[in-house]
Amino acid sequence: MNDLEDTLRRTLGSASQNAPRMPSGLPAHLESGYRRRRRRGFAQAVLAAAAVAVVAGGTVTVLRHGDVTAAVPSTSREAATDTPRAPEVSAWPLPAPVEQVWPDAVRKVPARGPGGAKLMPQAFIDDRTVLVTTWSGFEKTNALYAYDLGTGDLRKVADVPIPTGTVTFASDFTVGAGLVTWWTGTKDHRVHLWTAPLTGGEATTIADVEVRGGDGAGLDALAIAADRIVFSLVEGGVFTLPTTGGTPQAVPGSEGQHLLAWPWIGSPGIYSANDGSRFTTITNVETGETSAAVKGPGDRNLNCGVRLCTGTRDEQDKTFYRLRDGLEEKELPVNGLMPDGLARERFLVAPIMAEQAGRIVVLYDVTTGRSADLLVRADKKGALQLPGVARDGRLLSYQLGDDLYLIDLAKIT
Amino acid sequence: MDGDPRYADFVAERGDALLRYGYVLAGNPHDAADLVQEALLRLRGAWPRLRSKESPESYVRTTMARLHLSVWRLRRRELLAWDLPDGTHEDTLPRGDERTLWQALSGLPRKQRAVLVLRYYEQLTDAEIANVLGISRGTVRSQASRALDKLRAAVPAEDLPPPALTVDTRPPAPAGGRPHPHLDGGGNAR
Repeated sequence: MNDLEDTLRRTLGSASQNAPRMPSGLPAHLESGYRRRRRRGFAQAVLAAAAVAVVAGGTVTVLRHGDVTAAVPSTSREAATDTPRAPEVSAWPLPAPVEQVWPDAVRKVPARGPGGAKLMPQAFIDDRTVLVTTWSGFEKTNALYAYDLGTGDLRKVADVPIPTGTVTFASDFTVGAGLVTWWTGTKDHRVHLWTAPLTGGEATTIADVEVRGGDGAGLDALAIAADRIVFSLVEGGVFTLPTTGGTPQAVPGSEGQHLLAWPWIGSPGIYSANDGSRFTTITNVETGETSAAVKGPGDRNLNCGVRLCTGTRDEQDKTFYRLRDGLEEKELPVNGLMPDGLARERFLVAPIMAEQAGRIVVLYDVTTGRSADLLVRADKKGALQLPGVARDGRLLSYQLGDDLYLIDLAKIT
Repeated sequence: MDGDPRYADFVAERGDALLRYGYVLAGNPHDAADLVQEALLRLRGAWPRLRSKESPESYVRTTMARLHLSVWRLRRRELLAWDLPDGTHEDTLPRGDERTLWQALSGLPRKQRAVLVLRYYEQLTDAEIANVLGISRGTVRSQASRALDKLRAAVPAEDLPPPALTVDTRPPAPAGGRPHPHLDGGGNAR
């Protein structure tokens, strides 16, 4: 008995020495991979049982961002007692369901297409049509469809090719000018920009861009502005090219800058490693106007749009939003913030504790102070799905049972 | 949204150790790298609320063990963040009995292998293993004993060294469990 066990112990120890070595650059890659994953909107937030224990212990704490299936570490029990307590945020009165609060903005449609393919909404094409993708495998988008929310019709827009050597699958589907555009990344450190006509047709590559930084490098923003495609690189630099293709031209003075919302560019970008600031400095490349957000000494995670910034303070438990110039600051009624900031500089998706209901997810309108229950509840394992707003800043979608909830933030007045 | 430098430090400091763990858990370099990558991505998501509460190392090792058993394993095996050197991965174990046993391990079902790795590589008690894998202690014991039986059958007795003099080489488990042995990488959970 013991001889086998000893040999086993020795074997595992020796074999472990044959493990692959960690590549240098892995931390940076993980950071950008994590953010890309978040932004693709397939985040499944699962609350760690450890966090549940804190809640049960009488302290209400709210997930800062929970894009994880959290396993319970074997030390969680001992650790919980050492945990500094989060300050109390009292439970909310349960808000009304989103369909009642903003009935014009909510659509409920079947979550699966013909043949049972799971549909992943990407962006609004127009008021009643949503661009959806299907996967052939985990994260491997293989086709694009236009989903008619009125009729439920699914019309194929294009197949999405996966070129040999792809390391980043089709990402950041963006709609505009009658087109959908996206990008892929290949092993040879090249990013490929693609377009397909929304009316249906072939996907074609319109540009190849060499990127520095190896693994995890690629685009951090992609947009269509009139007849041009605009993008920025994780490493910095903003470029444009005609939607018909061609050589991307660097926007003058955009070195180290990232696309925020055309014509605004700035820094730090969304994948930049720093104290959590995002777009504190911005420039309008058409008018030359610039803006540097005011940052107080205790402000952290200052995450800015063109008009507003959100941030955290006091060990991240206090959250606020205010104008870029630091004025009109208001506290946000949540502990901690999702990394995405405010959608449309107005909406926040946040997990909260509600009276009677426990942990729920709300859509909160900072302009009016109204909030709505998205009806997302923790499952038996304590998992709470935290929906994300799509890259168009307009589409908030998530699946509940067999239904796909599609909320058009543009229809909330 | 903060790119916390402490997370980067943790990955830089502990990445190799996690890869070693992933390698004995999965049995091959590709799955090991895949497991480590996925578990570290999840750790990144949990980081802001995890760092002051519990050991990130313990979190990530637990996640790896569970991922290894989960259906996630069946649908992945792509999109690895880095290139593994091709062909440099001969399993060069110094001793014949180790080579035989390493091969025999690859014939075990995932759960049985995971239980053995947690017991004999991670040096966890059965209670801790039950916690990590989310199974009962009885299941831990039965899986371990079945796994050991299979290994014994696969490895001829003459390949094993003579029995050692010590009776039990594993330290007894104090009530309430003991700290995870891999806390050197960070966290204040002790």
